[in-house]
Amino acid sequence: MNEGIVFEDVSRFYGDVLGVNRVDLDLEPGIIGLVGPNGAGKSTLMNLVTGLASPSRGRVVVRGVVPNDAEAFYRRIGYCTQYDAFPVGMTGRRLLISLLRVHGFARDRANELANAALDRVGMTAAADRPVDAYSKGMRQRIKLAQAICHEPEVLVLDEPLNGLDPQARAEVTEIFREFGAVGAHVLISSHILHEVDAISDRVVFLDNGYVIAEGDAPGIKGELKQYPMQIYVRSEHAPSIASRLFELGHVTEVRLHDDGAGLFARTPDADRFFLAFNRLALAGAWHVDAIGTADETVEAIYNYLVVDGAAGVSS
Amino acid sequence: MTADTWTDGAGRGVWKQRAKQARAVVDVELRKMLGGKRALAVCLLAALPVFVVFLLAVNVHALTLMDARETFGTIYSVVVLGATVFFGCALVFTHLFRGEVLRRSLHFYLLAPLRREVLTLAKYAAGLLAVCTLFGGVTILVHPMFIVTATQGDWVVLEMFRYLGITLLGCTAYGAVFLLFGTLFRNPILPVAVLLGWEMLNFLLPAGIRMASVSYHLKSLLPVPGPVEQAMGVPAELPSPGVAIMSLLILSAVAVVLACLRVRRMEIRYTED
Repeated sequence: MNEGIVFEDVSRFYGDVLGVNRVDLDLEPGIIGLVGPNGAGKSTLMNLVTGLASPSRGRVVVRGVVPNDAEAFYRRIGYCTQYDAFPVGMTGRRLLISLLRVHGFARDRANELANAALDRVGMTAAADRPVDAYSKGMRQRIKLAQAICHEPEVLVLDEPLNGLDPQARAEVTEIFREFGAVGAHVLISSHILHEVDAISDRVVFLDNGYVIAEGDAPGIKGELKQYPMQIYVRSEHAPSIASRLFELGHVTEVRLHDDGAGLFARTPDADRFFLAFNRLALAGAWHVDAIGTADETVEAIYNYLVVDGAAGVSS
Repeated sequence: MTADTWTDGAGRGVWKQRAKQARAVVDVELRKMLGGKRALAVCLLAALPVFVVFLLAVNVHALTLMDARETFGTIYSVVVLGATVFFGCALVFTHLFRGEVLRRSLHFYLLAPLRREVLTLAKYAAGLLAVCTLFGGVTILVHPMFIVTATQGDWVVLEMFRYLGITLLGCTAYGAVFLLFGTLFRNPILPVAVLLGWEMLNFLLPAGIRMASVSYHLKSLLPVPGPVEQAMGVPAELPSPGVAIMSLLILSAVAVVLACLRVRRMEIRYTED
């Protein structure tokens, strides 16, 4: 049985409006970031994974099960949606217990799982207050508790960090890592790109309903050969390093940091750059605090692919 | 396997589990109904016959049993069936799915490992339990309240149970139709208004068409002729009680099955709603 999330030539149209088109993906377990501008098709893709929408063409198989088999499918799925709404008149604890009972858990087990989920998202103290009275951050956390309370194998999260303070973000991302570490799929859509970068094993980039790139960030950047790689250097000798770097024929741009203690260099051939830089550093006896690639991040790739408009990359 | 007692295939464990899930849905729905603002409107509708009967009972004295029964028959047709049961069921059943879509909370159910048919049946059962308890209770209350007061002592116990049966049957049929409306229409108010007109004016229609009406079948079960029948004479073509009951049960079953099919294909697209 395939343990992946598989999209086989999936398209979804809403009348004449394109949701996603010709998506072919085979996502292995781990934390997967879903990135794209508004209207890129992220929510459609998540609704397709969770069976809340059906493909107009193709099919979606999640860990060997199709959404039509609701009783088997939804035992595996936990979905923290973007919708900030709850059944009327419920406390956080009652909401979780009720949903777990609807899942088919016995009362004692439902209580046990609800308490565990509340504890995990730090909502035990507020569990007996009405959900309608919760703050934005608390509602976000109770939504997450609802998504994880039945211990799903596939966790789908639509903007899960919205409304959370920095400490809560750290706690919540730790939960995602725990799920990823035990072999679950964690599919995260977020506009907070540096956080997607920090927690994702792989990233799916979407734009205008198409998957424009998929893989780990360095791999995707490696495929973007038309974009010179940006390398940063932190050194007190930055101005003299900059002048020497211009002597290298493959360096296309050098820009000093505002504080003068570092620089950015662009080159289409990173391997040659690092080799030449080592030689220059030894010859010039430069003290280098740090050196590395500056654009193998989700944010940089997003800018290349979406803002600059490149497409058709996959690693 | 996460939820307990699931068994593969179509074994007894699966059905037991589905029954358990359905009970959980009924429990959630009843809590929501009691906690919602609609509960107040439904309770006011339930109080309407009590209020009307109270007003009449204090003003009408020493009627013969026959006159009292005929007067109650009119009150029952117009107030209990025509207002309380019809509008009460419309408020409760159109809201079962439509309300969740408007509140953007339907996905909580759709993300549970629960067959959509079980969800639909459980929601219908919850609605039925609520309205049958409330409106059945009102029927049991107002019948003796009026007959005993108006006749100063007489009471027809079996007739009360007959009215109770009509109320329950009315809730079953109207509930199923409104459940279907709630899954078919974005704004069920218009179809409810059309149905109201159809139910009120169907006595003007030819006999063949008139059969496609809940009130037509309910009227044939009344112990005494309704107000229209009293004014116009009882139409000879009213169905027998057996046919009327079967027709209403079949209508309810068909409406619930159609609602199940609609819910089965339902998708979450709150932004369009």
